[in-house]
Amino acid sequence: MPNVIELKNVNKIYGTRVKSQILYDINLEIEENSINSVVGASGSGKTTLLNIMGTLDRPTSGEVIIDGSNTKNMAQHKLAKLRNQAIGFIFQFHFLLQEFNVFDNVLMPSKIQRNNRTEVKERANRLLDMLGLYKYRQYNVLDLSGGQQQRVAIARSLINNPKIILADEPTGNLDLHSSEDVYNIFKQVNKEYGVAFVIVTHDKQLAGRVIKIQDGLLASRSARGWEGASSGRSPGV
Amino acid sequence: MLLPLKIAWRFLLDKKLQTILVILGIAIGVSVQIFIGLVSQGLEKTLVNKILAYNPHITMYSKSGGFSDWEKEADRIRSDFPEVEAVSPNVNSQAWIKLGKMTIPILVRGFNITDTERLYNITAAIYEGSSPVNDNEILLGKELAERLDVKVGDEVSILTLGRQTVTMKIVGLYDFGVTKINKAWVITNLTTAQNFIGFGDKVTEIELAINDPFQADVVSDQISSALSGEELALSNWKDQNQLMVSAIAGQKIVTLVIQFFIMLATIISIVNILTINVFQKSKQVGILKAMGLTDFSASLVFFYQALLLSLVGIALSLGFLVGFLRGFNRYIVTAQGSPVVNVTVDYRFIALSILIFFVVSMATAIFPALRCIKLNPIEVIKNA
Ligand SMILES: Nc1ncnc2c1ncn2[C@@H]1O[C@H](COP(=O)(O)OP(=O)(O)OP(=O)(O)O)[C@@H](O)[C@H]1O
Ligand SMILES: [Mg+2]
Repeated sequence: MPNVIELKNVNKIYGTRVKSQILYDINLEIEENSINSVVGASGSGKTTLLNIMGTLDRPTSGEVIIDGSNTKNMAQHKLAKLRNQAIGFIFQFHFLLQEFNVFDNVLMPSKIQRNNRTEVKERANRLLDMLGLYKYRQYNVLDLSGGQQQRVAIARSLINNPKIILADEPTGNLDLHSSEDVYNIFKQVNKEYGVAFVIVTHDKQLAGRVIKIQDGLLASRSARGWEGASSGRSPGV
Repeated sequence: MLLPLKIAWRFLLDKKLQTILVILGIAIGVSVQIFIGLVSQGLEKTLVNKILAYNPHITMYSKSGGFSDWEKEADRIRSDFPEVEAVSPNVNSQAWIKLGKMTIPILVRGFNITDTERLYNITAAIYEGSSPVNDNEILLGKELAERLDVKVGDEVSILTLGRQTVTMKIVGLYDFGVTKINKAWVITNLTTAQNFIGFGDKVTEIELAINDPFQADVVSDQISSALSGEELALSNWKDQNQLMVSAIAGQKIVTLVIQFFIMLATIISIVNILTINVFQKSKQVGILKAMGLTDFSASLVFFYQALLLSLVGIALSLGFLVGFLRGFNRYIVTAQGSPVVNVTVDYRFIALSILIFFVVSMATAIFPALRCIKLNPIEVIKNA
């Protein structure tokens, strides 16, 4: 299966005077249509890894290949376009734009793309319907519950039909019931649209691959059990 | 381009009070700035017109008392100095006009009336009768005619410095709008005035009008050096009204300084509100960037906000300006009910002021736009 994201020898070092290395020589491949959970202790670098995968952050060294294109020397506006087309983001907070209603929020990534076609509006309606939000289309986002807001954010992340969704603790702010909802939606979307997921999570590990970060190194558990995903030092599991 | 405009619009709507206050600030700043500029211009014009209504821009005297070759001098100035618009040789003499047993001091002024057109525009000031054509015909000012209780066609006796009495016929009445002049000047043609004082065909002065009255001192110096060696003395209205001229210059500078600071304050308020807005909306901007909005488009959001604020503010300021001008002409009036200062609506000045404001405010929008470009989505997401 082709990879939607590939990390090659990615290192991340924060700080200039006092250097602290968060990621060591990471090599990681995210396959099309796969579900991946990223786990690890607080401060272990999960968010850092996800931001690098999403091209929001640049690695100190190493290469990030998104959907076949190497992002190493991409200009800012090219990266922006790549993010817009290939990646959907979901964060712990919904980050909806309070100035716009539910429907416009869902359409935002398509508007950035200057895609005004009727199909995209139909898609927005379909997504909202699937997420049980159809009747809230014209609501202001501030008038929704936390779970509903997060579901709007999910619809928004899907509107441009991305290859991959990166979710950083998407249920961190939700109660157990809403969290279950969100994970079920992820599974459904994965099945229906074939979108790959990388989900940073504290609480629950979804079925699929689990990527564990420890001491800046990765260990991955798949059907074959735990194995080192990094070519560097062997991780202490 | 449309999405940044739409976002800009929504951002402004989202902070309605803030937006309304800035627009009001712009409207007041721009309109007050233009208004005081117009009043200053009007003040200057009113004052200068009052002075120049009866003052030539430049006056040439002969040190020996009179010019005999004045026609030659006048022609020379006409041909050598294109900025001179009127050359008016004239003969002036102190005299008295008889009223019953009283004598009232007057100034007999002999002109070639056609030469004075750009200087005093006597023809336009005549409200009854016509200008003197024949000898011993005169024009009287409004207040003097009223005091003497005479009308066109009447004859009056004038007493010369040499204690001779001459009878003159009133052919017209004039009004310069300046009582002092109306009461004093008795206008006649050159020969009548020359005969009156036994001056042969000499003139006492040559008066000049130039295209830019404020250049009077400069042109005066040029003429003085061009005609040097001759028995000439020159004076100009600026030297004669130094106090007034420096008062005008002073008020112009003060007005300019005030205008500048009003403009500055207005523009700072826009930049300020937009910079605050970058912080207020950093979450939105951060997520938009994460979703693929380019730095350039994100910064456009703030340019469009500056654009919308400026345009609405300017439109409103024009309304305010009309209000200010109406109020000024209506309430700031003299006892007679006419405006203290004659403010004319100088469209070029208004357009230029607005253009300067607009260009500067759009240019300074670069600062919030730069802040927006620097905004890193990771920071925003981390600090939610
Ligand atoms: N901008 C930064 N400058 C310096 N150090 C940073 C910066 N961002 C993150 N770090 C450090 O990098 C490490 C990893 O941070 P990261 O946010 O990736 O952890 P995490 O695994 O997501 O933790 P959590 O589960 O608490 O969200 C932390 O020790 C953090 O202090
Ligand atoms: Mg994190």
